[in-house]
Formats: sequence, structure tokens, C-alpha cells
Amino acid sequence: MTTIANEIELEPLSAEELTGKPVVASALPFMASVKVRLAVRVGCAQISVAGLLELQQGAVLALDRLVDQPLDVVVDEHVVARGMLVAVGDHFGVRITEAAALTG
Amino acid sequence: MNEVRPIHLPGASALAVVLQRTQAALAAWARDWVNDEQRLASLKAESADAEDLQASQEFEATQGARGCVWIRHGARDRASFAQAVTGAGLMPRATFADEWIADLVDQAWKVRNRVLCEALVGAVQSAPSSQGRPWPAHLSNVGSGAVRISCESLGLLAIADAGVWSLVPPIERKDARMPALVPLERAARRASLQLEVALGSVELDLPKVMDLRRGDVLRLPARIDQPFAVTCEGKPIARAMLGEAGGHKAIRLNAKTTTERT
Repeated sequence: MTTIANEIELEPLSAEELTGKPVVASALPFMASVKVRLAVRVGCAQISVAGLLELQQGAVLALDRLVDQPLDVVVDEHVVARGMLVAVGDHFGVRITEAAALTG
Repeated sequence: MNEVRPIHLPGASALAVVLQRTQAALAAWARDWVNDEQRLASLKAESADAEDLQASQEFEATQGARGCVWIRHGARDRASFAQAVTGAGLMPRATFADEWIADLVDQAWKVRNRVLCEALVGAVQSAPSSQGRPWPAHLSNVGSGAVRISCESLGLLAIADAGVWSLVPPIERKDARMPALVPLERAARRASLQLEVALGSVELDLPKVMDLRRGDVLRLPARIDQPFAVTCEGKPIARAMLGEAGGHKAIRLNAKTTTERT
């Protein structure tokens, strides 16, 4: 059997007038395969360069969050959920108290 | 790209040196050529930067060893100059039309210009030319270092470029006290940084994250009994234990992380 193979010449494409209709109506069906990294932030402390250099081992630094305030669950610098600090066996854990809506 | 050029800011004492040098040279010349030496009294040396140099004015350029001098040779300059050279006593008996007077004035003009050029920018390198030597554009820049020499009663207006300063010895003076350089680390002492305390991160499929509900528990990689990394502007700086201080969450710093895994 012989297969005939012809070379293809590609035509130049020029954009047509845009219709204003999106090609993808919703990103949701594709999101199942997306992996995200959740970071759990306890709090922050502002410190000057001088303060940083003077820090000694054993020093205690208070953070900007009160003891009973929740932790932030952060995706790419965006807080998507909050939760309380818990222990899960030997590990830290966070029990979600508030989660962001999916869209909007 | 912008051109970078040096800025010359001649001070009064530097200009005085130029004036003195010019005065001495012209005085020696005047003894031979001018009847009334008082005419030198109006000699001035000023900074000529930012001067609106009219290309249409007639100047002849003389190149010296260190720079260039442009001397104006308009009709009025020549007339004042001729007056100075011939003097009041001679004129009733002779006129400028007399060839020998014209030659004399011309000779005096050339010698004066050479003497002036030598005093300002060193030995003359080429015969003065009134053609093919346009004003360099930089001459009228602020800080160009150009100097304007003038003496009305001698019909003199000359502009010397910054080369004039290479013949002026540095003026001795007490340097103003300069502050010592401060190491950057010290200079930036008051700059503010953000220390961030996070208990590590977990990677999840998005649908799992979408399903997160109140009450769900995420287990984190950080162990309760072990210090975790504290970062400053994204870089780990220390390991710390979590605790409480004065009603706030707090950390106690343990050791540098440089040798530890983060």
C-alpha cells in the first residue's frame, strides 16, 4: 500500500472582526487540574534594618495578630481563607473558619 | 542617550587670575603700540557660559596650545582699536586712508591678538582664521568654562574656551569639610522591613481547595516541637518557636538558618 503525502502550504491568517463573544464561558471546568500552593501565615512584624541587625537569639518578637485571631490561608499573596491554629498529631494545623466564595 | 559633560564653574578668584594674566600681557603689548595705557583700565574677564553667541557676528578663531580664542573683528571694533593705536595726537595730521596708518593698525591688531591668545590658551598653533571655525555648540552651554575678555576702549571682545583654565594654577584654599562616607547598612538603618511568619505551605488540587468548608482541618508540614523558618522579604533569616507575648502571637528566635534546611 502506498501512502501519498503532500506538503501543506499554510495560508496567512488575518484576524476577523471580533464578535465580543468569549471563547471560554467559564474557567471552572478546567480548574480540576490546577494545583495551588496554600501558605498559612501566622502574622507579620515590621522591623527596621537596625532592629533586624540587633536581633539576638532568644529574642521574642510580638506579631501583628492577637492570640485569638485566626491565621490567613494565602494563595499567591491573596488571603482565600482563615482558620484557627490547631495541633494535628505532632504537626501544626489550621481549622478553617471562613473560606472565600469560589467566584465573584 | 543624554550626553554627559563636565561642568566648569569659574569662581571670582579664578577669573581674577585670568584677568591679571591678560592685563600683564596686554600692558606689555600696549607699551609698544598704544599711546594711552589708561585704555586698559576697562579690561574685564567674565564667565561667558550661557552667553548668546551670535554666529553672525564676525569672529576670527585662533588655536592655542591649550584651547581656542575667538576675537571679534567688526567694523566698530576695528575703529576703536585704530583710535587706540594712533592716538589723538596723530589723527589730525593723518587719516586711516593713509596706507602706512592702515598697515600700522593691522600690525598692531595681529600682535595684540597673538599676545592675548598666548596669555589665555598658550602658544599660537595656527594663523587666525575667520572661516571654517564655527562656534562649537558646547561653548554656550551652562558650565562650558568659556571666558569673555573685553576692553571697550581697545575694541576688544574675545571668547576663550575652557582651555583657558588649563593655564590657571589651582587656587589654594582650605577645602570645606566633607562628611565621611557612611556604610550603606548604617545609612539604611531606619528603613523598614517586614518579617513574615508562616507555618509552611501545602500544595492541593484546586477542587479540594474549592471544597474547603468551615471546620475542615489542614495539616501543615511544620512540627509543633520544632522551630520553623521566619522570612524577611521572602528570604529565610531565622528559625523560631511560636508562642504568645502580651496578648499577641509571638515568636522566639532560635538560630540563623544558614546551615539549616528551610
